[in-house]
Amino acid sequence: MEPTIEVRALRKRYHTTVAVDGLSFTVRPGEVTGFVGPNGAGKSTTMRLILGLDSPDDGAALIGGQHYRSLRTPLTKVGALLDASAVHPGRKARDHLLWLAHSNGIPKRRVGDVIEQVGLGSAARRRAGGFSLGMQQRLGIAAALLGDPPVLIFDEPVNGLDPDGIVWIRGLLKTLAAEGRAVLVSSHLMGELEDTADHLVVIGRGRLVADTSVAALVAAASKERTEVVTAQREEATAVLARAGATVAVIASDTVTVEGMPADRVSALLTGAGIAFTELRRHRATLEEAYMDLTRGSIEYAPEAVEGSAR
Amino acid sequence: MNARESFPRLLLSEWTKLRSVPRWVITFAGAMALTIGLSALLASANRTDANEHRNFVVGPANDPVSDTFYFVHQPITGDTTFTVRVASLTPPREPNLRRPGDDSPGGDSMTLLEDPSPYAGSAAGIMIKDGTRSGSSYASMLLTADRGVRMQSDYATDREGSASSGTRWLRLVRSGDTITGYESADGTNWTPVGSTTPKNLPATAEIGFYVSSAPALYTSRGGGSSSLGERPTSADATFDNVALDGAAQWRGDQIADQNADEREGKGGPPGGRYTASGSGFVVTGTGAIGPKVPDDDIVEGALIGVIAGLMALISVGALFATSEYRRGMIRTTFVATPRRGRVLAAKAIVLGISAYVVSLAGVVAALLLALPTMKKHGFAPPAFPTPSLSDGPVARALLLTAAFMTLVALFAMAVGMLARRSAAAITTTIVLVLLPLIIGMVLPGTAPRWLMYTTLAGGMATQRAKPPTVTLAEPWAMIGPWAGIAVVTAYTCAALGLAWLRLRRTDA
Repeated sequence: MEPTIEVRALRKRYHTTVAVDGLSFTVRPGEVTGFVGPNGAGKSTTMRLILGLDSPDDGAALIGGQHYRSLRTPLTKVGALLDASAVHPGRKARDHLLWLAHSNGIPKRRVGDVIEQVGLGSAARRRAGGFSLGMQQRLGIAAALLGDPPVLIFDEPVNGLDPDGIVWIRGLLKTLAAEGRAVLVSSHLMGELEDTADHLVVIGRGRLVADTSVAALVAAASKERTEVVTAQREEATAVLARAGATVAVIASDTVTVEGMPADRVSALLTGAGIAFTELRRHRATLEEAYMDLTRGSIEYAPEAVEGSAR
Repeated sequence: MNARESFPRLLLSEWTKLRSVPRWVITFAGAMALTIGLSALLASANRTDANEHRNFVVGPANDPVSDTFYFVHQPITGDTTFTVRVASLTPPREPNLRRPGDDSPGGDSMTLLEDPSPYAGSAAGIMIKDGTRSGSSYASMLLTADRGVRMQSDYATDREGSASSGTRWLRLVRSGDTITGYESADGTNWTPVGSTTPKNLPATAEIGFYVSSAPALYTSRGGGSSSLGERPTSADATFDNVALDGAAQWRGDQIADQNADEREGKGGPPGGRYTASGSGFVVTGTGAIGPKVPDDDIVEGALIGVIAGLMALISVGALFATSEYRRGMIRTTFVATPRRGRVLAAKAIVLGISAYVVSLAGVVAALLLALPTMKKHGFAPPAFPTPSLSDGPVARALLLTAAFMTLVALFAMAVGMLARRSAAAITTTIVLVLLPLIIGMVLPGTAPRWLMYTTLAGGMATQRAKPPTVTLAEPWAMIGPWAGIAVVTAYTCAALGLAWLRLRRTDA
């Protein structure tokens, strides 16, 4: 089985709400694929459809070419963390992993292995009800790793983790991808994935917004923009505007220039004899690129308050 | 990784789930403790005076019997042949069902019980008996009013002869300890009905002809109590062609009816009598000859705690299902095993086996612990033979009661899968068991029988080792144990089927 996730024209409607609307993308082995979108964009629904928990109205989600429901020992093919709190609070962490292992005929020793791998060794015999959010998250990750699967799906794995945990999970995700696994990680915050994901699938309102590498997305989104700090703001504005650039004033001594490369801005200002203390090229962050992409597809945007005091 | 999918492993998985939640294990233990504890507690509240009753008689096998009739007899020694023609048998007229001023409790109407037993009704026959003491060994050939010709002995053996009524010739032949019965339409061509060896027949036994007429049994139940009333009846018969080798003087005796005097004082029918008329005799008799086992059931009485244990099992069953829906754990389950039908089957099997083991241990322990107390309170031999676990009906009651408890726990689990809420599932199941019981207790007469045939409460019938009866306050005594378990099985299968359909169709 080639470790891939293929989502093809997937569509799912709950009553009157279309949660996923003709979504297609592929998660390839050896990469961390970030699955990004605002809250309510359909990320969790897509993951449930991939895992055969919900049935799509149209389209298909395939794991290595197979429907999840036709997999026989699915935990050895796909590991998933959906909701880390989905553990019976009265059950010991070890027993939670043990029943999962039994259900797929996974050797018992794997339980001890993954507990050590996620750093829960000392809490293995404690009841899951007393776990912190971070410990629950680690237990959920342990469950996903239990069957040593070539495909991994994590829904918001960073939630509730402390800074150490965040560093740890980023390292883990990269390691898993480096081992040749296909890793799909969802988040509603692009920043969480910035240093981790190799590839990005961005969705909004159930539709695909972008399916691209991280580098390409950043490049596409960062329009040429230059910030100029100068005492002669008005003169500078006039010179640049005359040359065809869009100039915006952002402070008493600072303007931003769009539609013109930075070296031309520098040449124009020097040619006009306008002194500037700073000229910097601005690169868009992934977060900004994402905000640009998903603007208009945010389900719960704050409404503008009319007549509010400025 | 050499992982393998197999159903036994899925069972192991569900078993791991079940045993790893301490609260459930404690509730299982609680189910057992409640069954045993409540049984032991209530066993000491239950009393009977059956063994001290003045009409209490035991037969040769030390079983409670009724042995009341009018006997025209004489002693006979050794082998003999006795022949009689029953010229006519006049059964009692139809008893009045609702007599005003009846002293039944609360003035409720009484229901006449139909007794299908071959020992019931009226009979005219011939008998050889170990003296005239009530409860002694005997063998008889008899013509009944509506159950044909029969041969009976020692209150326990009954052989069917022809279906004749009206006039019939009867014959008993003694050869050593063996008595053989014959019948004939004409006194010439004889048909053997059977042979029997009564337990204690002395060399010199009493032989003669008799009339019996079983009392009409009335019952009134409902409102949580029951009462059983007897009204004596009497039948008349004419015997002629009486032929006995070495016959001497006949004498008539009312066999043991200590109530006769009292009844006569109340204007009831007198005891029996006989008069010689021409070549024959006219005999009036009252009373019944046959087994008379009390309806109270010692096994049922000892298992009274089952209802409490059942409540605990219902909780475990429901929680085993609804806990999956708390916090979306069902998703983890179905991600691990996408074939949902197998998950449901594995859950049902694991819960079923666990509940059965707990229930069976509970009911066996409850019976063994309650027995000594019940014995002390009157539930003792001979009216109440001590039940042994190896007695067929006792073993059946214990095994089926445990099955009943298990099936109700499974029903609660199925309802839990459907309702997905613990409180709703537990309440629904408890109401479905208890409400028909309460209504059945209150409803009068045999009305609750249909309730028992159609609701989970019918499963309580599994607790009885004795045959069904309508004379007790508890409505489940009206139906048989197999009918009871069948109803519960049907409910549980239907609920599991619905749960399966729902699991297949809906998103998790």
